[in-house]
Amino acid sequence: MIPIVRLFNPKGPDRVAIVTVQAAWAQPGSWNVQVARGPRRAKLSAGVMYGPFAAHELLQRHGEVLTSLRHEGFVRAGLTAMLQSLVSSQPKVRAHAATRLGWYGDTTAVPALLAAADHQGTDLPAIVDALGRLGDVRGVELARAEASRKLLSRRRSGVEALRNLNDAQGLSEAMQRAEERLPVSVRAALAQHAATDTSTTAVNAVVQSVKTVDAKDQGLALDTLYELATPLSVAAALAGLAAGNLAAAYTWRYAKSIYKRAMLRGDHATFGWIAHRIEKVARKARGTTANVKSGLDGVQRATRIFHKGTQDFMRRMAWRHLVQLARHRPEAYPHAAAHALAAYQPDDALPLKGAYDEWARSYVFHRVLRGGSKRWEFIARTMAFRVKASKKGHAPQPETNTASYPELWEQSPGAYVTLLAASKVADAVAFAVEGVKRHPEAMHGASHAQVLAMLGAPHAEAVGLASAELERRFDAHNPDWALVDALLADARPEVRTLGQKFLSLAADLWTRDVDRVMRYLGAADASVRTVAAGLVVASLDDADVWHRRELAERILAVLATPEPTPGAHEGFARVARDGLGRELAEVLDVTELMTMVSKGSPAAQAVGASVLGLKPDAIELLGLPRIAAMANHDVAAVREAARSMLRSTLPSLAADPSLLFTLAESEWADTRTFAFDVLRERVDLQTVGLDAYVGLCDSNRADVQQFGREVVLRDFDRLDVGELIARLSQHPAPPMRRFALDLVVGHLKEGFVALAKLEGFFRTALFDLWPSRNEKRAVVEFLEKRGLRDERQAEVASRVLGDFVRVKARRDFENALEALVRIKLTFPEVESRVAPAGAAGGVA
Amino acid sequence: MIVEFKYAGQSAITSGLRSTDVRFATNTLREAAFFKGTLGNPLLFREALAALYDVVVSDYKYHPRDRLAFKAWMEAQDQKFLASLAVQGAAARQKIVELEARRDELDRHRYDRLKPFYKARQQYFDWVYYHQYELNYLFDPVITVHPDQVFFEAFSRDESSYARLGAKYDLFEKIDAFECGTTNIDFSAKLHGELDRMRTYRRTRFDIDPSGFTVATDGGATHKEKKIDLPESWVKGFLQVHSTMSLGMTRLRLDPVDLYNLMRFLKRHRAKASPRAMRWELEPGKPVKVVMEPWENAIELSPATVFDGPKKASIRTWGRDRLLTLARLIPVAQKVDVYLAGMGLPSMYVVDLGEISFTLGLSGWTDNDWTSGTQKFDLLTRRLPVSAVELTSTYEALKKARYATDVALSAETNLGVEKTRSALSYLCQIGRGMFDLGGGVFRHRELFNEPFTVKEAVAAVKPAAPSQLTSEEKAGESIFASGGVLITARRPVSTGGYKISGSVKGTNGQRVRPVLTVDAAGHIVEATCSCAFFTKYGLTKGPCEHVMALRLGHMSRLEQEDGA
Repeated sequence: MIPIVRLFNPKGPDRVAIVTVQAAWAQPGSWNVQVARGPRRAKLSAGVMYGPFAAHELLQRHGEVLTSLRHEGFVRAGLTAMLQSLVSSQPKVRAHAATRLGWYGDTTAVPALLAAADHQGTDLPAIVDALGRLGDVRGVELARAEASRKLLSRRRSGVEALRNLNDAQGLSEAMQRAEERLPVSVRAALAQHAATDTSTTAVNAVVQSVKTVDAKDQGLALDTLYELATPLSVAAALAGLAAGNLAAAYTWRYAKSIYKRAMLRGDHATFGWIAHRIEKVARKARGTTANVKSGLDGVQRATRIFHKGTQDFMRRMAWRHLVQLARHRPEAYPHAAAHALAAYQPDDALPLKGAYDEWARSYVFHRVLRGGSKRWEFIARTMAFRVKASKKGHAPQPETNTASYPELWEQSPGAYVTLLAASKVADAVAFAVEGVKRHPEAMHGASHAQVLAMLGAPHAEAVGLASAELERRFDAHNPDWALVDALLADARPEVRTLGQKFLSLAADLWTRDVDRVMRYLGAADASVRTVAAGLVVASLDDADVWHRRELAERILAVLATPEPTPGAHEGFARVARDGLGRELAEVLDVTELMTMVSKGSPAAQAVGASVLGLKPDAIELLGLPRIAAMANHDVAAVREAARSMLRSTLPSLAADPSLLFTLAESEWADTRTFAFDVLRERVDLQTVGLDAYVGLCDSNRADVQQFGREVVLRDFDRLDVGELIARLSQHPAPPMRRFALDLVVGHLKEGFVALAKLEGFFRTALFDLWPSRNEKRAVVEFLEKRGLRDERQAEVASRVLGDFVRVKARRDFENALEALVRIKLTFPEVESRVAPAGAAGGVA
Repeated sequence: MIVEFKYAGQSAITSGLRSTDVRFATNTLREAAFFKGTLGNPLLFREALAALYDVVVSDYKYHPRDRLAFKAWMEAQDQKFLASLAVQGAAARQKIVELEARRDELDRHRYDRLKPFYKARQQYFDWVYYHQYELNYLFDPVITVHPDQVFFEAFSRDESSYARLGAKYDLFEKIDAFECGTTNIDFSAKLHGELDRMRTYRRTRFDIDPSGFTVATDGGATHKEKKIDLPESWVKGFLQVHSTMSLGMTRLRLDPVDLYNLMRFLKRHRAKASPRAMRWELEPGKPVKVVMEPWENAIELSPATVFDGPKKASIRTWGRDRLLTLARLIPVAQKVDVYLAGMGLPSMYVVDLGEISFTLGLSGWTDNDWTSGTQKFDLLTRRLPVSAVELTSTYEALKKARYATDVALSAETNLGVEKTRSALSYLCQIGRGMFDLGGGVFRHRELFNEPFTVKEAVAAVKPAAPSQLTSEEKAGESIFASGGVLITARRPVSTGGYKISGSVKGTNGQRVRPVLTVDAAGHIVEATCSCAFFTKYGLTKGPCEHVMALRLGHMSRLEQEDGA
């Protein structure tokens, strides 16, 4: 869409001409160029219509019309007025004119600007800025002179003009001066990193060096860093601003300077970031007053810093800059606006309040995204937008595209992609999504990084667009490895998952490439390593011998080194264990494998152990004790390998099961289960004797105790029950005590001796704090039964029950008392706490 | 303070078919105390060590539950409820129900799918907890070898319980060698598990030895080092216990079944509201009753537990759940002596197991550790001025004798009983000695590795700087110095010591009437005062300024009489 062109001829009869482009209604798809002219704007003739022209020739024809008008003496409307303003006696008027002339881009204004510069007034920076924008080499000399000034405003204008004028020599000298102006520590930090290195480490190092400088000089250092304009220095300047207080007295001036530089330089990202930063800080900061030297005239005076007036001015300035871009650099507007929008974050949304929605106080955001809407009205005092009250009975009309300058966005759909990739605000992303849907080809021009960033957008359609674009870009037969690597290295799991999918699709290609296999097996992300290892293992079945050998050697070399991070060897180890065991067994002897098991990383230990299992001579060389030690290893794979080796020695284990008893007490459940299985099925515990049963029951582990009880019950008829009871009764674990009690009740030998030996056991059972009523009742009944047999057993029973009868538990008390009474009645001479009923009888 | 422990090996119990080796590795950075013998009654020792371990790991402080997940769930429920209000159509409601059912089903499937992961993760957390807990949080007990017994001392994790396990040499079937001294022992959770494997049918060797149990590993270090950040309060608490134990306390003798009845009740009842005290109702000549608040459930103790005090008393103690750490001792206990210092003050339980004596000291209540600023038991003790030379000579005498009564030491040092008691009190306070409540003797025990020096002696007996004095002490001195103390009555009591009544003009100008009873050793046994501070706190925050001033008046009178 070609914009309307307004022209002015100060000498002609027709002083005003307006050139417009309109669709030719008679021939759809073609265009007419209309020239309306007259003595003044209100008295234009119907004019002349040229055309119709096809779209492809429209621009050329439009240019021809303009040229012919210029030959008549027409110039751009406003140019003459501005040139006249340049000779004003007021610097403010001259500065305004110079700025406008700069934006117009008409180089005929250069001599007038240079002449105006002779005033050397406060308008000089604006004149130099304008010369820079015009890009005419006649401005170089002045720009160079200004770039060497000490005063910040002049130096800034000079340097940025030199940059716009592409004056390499002048710029080089200016950069040299800028470097010299930097504090030594900052210069040293910059020198330690490449100018293009924008890694976090490098940026942090420079920022830290700035922090070591006196607080008053930090702002200047940041501005100078931005002036240097290398990727590192720019990133450091912004990081430094982000880390500090933008509104502080000695920072604000330089923050403002960077902001202006960004506008002059066309650095839209920095412009958007600072514009948003100012707005964000302004929500809380109320400003201060300090004695500072002016960057404009160098005079020190008490200055209000970052007060509301300044805040509002700066916020408006951002939108003014965008408007200027829209009018004079229409191709740049969407990109600058996209960056300005992208700087907003979800936490900028404020709570809804009446007619003010969550973005009502986000000035630039609102101007850019809702500037075309008629539903909002701007409240200048608060710099906020509120919903207009609608007329009664009139529902608001639906609005499709509410953005400012929608036609400019449509002309540069790449800006939608920029916004889509960078924004985290749902409204902005939705706007960009609609734009991209209208211009799907815009996605093709997005970089990999942009598409990956879109996968994290807070909008399902945006994620869908990005995924579709990635799918489109990926060709399993000719993969874009840079894309795959970027996906796999991404911090977000869902992106890595997509990368893993591509990795799987292209497995036939990369699993034949040893270098690539090694890279993916050593990936930083564990899930990537796992997927890669699985694919490699699957591919090894069909791989040739040489490929397998080479891979085995490379993996072995990696496993021999210390693990850089925990788990880094896992991928290599899995391939080695599951796919290359045979090759590794060929090249490693038992000693080397044992070194791996004892000194390698956990993954290497697992590999060493599993390969040991493939060595036929390993058992003989290692011996059973070392294999048993491996069965207690911390690494599960080592234990599994050890058990695998032990399975091949079952006959010798059955002959001498002592090792199995050690394994039954292992810290690891899998090893214990192995020992139980072998003991249960292969070993005759009778050959070891009672100690074997008691040894198992004596364990502290519940599962070993359970196994012990199982084998005791299995072989009960063949055991010395008296000795077994005597030993088990000393076990402190309640389950074993219950088991022992069952044995006692059912199988304790007759007589006083056997009973007296267990007095402590009975006390432990009775005085246990856990409410095991059945157990206690069983003990009481048993003691009563035995106490009634003879006098000596009655003594033991009375002693125990005599203490227990004092418990404050009704049922226990009654049971014990009843038993005591029965015993007392049977053997009255036995000393007891219970006396026969009498006048003062009962429990003493 | 960071305390370093270095063990050449590790403590371990190895059980074979016929024998068990109990080896405690001692801190090699400390003096080379050792003991080698064979246990005569391993089961008794096992139960006592298990109780000691229970005390060491116990933490009865209140830990509020983490309710973040619950709050998030509540919020989700609120959101759901609010959302449901907006849904008008029945079809939409039905759809929501269906979707929620489907979501629940998916959640269940996801949980089932991830179950092995959750299980493995929990096992890993358990493993890490088990292994890191021991290295970072378990304060290794202090072990002391004396000519008559070996004893272990330890504090609980919450610093509110103190335990002492004294094993007399009668416990040992055979003693091969020993060297007296004090050191730390490596005491791990794993070791506790192994302790349970001690049996009478295995001959049990008991070695306290710097080498411990050394496992040779390929190239690995055989020594084990621990660096534990020992809280200052832990150390102070350790010393404070002995201030408490040397107080004149009310003693009761319980049958083990009495302790069982108390614990059984505590195990089965959990008070959800205050008061949660255990109230000891003492009436001369009658069995003691213990009332469990808030249920007011009275447990009458056995007839043997007759209170022989002069008058009726009611003493409330808090933090009663800590008694449960003695659970394993009940079946093997012969008798239990309970020492009560007063309402809200510490209590001591000395469990007699025959050859073993187990002492459990409990602070006034669980959240009130022994030194947290509100416990000022040393204010209750009375000390005469002691010079550095006198302190050193008492220390040397105690070190030589290893254990002795204050009277015996006084004869050795020629300092007089009062002076010797004061010097011993100072030594207890700086960790150079301890009071054996069960045995009634003072024992030499070096809590730390640094040797006793003249400098330390000077620092120990130096009067506290005004800034170090408590506000009550300062106020008491000020009142005494200004002549605000008038002793109205002072008479000896039958149990030894004095009962003093006085009239004291406080710092606020009001005159109050404190009454003070001190025992023969000069410790405050009982005190009352008509002031507001005492009415509110009793002795739980130490004596008030008036009682302190009255005691100073009494001490001044004593010195005058000694001089005469």
